[in-house]
Amino acid sequence: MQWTQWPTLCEDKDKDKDKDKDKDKDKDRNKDRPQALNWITLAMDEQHGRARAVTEPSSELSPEARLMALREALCRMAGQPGGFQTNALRRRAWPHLVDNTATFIRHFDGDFEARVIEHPETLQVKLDVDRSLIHYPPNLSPVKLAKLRQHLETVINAVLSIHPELHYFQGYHDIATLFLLVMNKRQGFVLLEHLSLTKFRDFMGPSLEGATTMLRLIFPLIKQVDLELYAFLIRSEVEPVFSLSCVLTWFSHVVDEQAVIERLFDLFLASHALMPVYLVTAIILFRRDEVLSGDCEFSAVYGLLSKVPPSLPYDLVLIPHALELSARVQPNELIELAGQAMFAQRAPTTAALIAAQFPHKPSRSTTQPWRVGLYAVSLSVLAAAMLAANSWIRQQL
Amino acid sequence: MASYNYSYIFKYIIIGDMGVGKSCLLHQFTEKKFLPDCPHTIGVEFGTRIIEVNGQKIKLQIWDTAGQERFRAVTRSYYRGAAGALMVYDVTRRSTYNHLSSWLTDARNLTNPNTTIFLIGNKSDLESQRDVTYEEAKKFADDNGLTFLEASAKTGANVEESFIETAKTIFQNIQNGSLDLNAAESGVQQKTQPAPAVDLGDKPAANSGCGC
Ligand SMILES: Nc1nc2c(ncn2[C@@H]2O[C@H](COP(=O)(O)OP(=O)(O)O)[C@@H](O)[C@H]2O)c(=O)[nH]1
Ligand SMILES: [Mg+2]
Repeated sequence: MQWTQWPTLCEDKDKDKDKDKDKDKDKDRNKDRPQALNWITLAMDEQHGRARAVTEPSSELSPEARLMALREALCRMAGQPGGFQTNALRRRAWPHLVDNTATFIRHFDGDFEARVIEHPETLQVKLDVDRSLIHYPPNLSPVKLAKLRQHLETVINAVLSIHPELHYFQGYHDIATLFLLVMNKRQGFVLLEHLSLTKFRDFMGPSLEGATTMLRLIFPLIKQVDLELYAFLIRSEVEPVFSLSCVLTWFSHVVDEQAVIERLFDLFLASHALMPVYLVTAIILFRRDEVLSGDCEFSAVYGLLSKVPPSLPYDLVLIPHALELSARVQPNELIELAGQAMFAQRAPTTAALIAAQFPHKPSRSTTQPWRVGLYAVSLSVLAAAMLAANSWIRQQL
Repeated sequence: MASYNYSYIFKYIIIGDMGVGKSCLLHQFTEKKFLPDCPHTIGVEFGTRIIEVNGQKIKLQIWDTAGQERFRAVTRSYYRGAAGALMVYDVTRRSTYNHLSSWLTDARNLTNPNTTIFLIGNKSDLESQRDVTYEEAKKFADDNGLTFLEASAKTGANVEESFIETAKTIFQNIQNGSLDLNAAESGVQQKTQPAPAVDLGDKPAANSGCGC
């Protein structure tokens, strides 16, 4: 297989559109793929003089396989220091990290704003939106703030109106806020809808059990790598609920710096659904000495770990460690350690996503054709698993 | 072994509808500052402060809970073993007052019979927007055997008082024997030898170091 540097083939015709993001409505989703590929290449050339090269598989590959390979390259990039670095690149990269071709997800393709209706959480959404966008971005004019809040409310209400089986949780609006700060309204909706049906789905069931079940993976993971810390945590009788807001909101509720959250979203979008659990664990391991030198008692440990210190070394230490942990104790292995049956029952969508490894985890080696094939196979496995998960969810309603 | 500069730990929970000011009250009490842009609470948060009641140093361990119904499954397990419960409503929003009976039922069902429940009508600084009268809430409190104060996390009015009055009641209950320290879920831990009920003077160091 020949690997070549990806040539820049076309002009970025849509450059001006970015400035007027709200106007490019329905086009992005179904934009033909090869052109989309070139967008990304161009963005990288512009933004990174030092060019993080994205290589392209030979053009013998079908457009689908090329897209797969692009995804893989993006996933690798998301794990490297700084992730996608700029929002211009994020706007191009993030849509490729969700799989719009998956037929098991019933995406809404029309005019989503027209679909907003009253729903049981309308008031709660309003209250939360009114308290949003306070810590970032800086120097937001009142006009811009009002507009962003209005978009935020629309996008959230659209997802909840179109998918009445999804339940709103406080913190969901923190996630949506970040999508809207990076993407335009349309793309923000597409991403939020997609993730609500996949990686956030278990947070949006009738109860919070999907999320608390995920938290129960943290201690078993620590046990695999740091027995002393594990023993201390168990002795203290602390419960992993202290990590709820990190996992539930992909850190957007606990980190105050917009740039850091964006960078973490690069990682989470490019990874399997349990990456937030691995990152939380990496942070606990990073703070082990602090934990071990404190009181071995529920509230002391809870008080310490429920607060995420500012300016942690995410790029240099924590993300590499989280990636390493997730390679050492892989998600399906971790689920097995923590009790497979229990997990699949309480977090069915996540279990299905993990079983199918979607999106494929960032790998360090270059893409091999068999991986692409494997990925295609895994998608059909995922489709089946998702159907099972969906019917499970319907039963619970 | 750790040494303690307090003789008791009292566990508190703060409950009530979302947005009534629970987290602001906690912040005002522990940091003596009003945090107007306090982020909403997800799950359960934790704060602590050492106070003095009748010459005894008491460490308050305060669990601040999320108001959204969805989180109640998580927050409920934190009611267990609370010595004090601060139940908060917003004097400018009647709906938060109307929900008190449901919060009270939860508190009664999930804590022990000796838990001291204290009612706080928060945001008393917003007099012009008042939606619930003092008299009405006072009657509700009396009918249900609760102690009641109106407070403001913003100005700090009655915030200290609410937390400290609750501790005084708990302390009294210990002294008159109605709160059994040996009961598993009393919400109180004693950190030194059973202290003479009389004053230990102001030598906090003297009653530390037991490490039991
Ligand atoms: N005027 C006024 N506003 C308050 C007071 N306490 C809280 N707030 C505001 O009420 C909102 C909700 O407060 P928060 O503590 O987060 O409520 P919680 O959901 O019960 O924890 C915030 O916007 C605060 O600024 C108060 O005593 N006076
Ligand atoms: Mg709160």
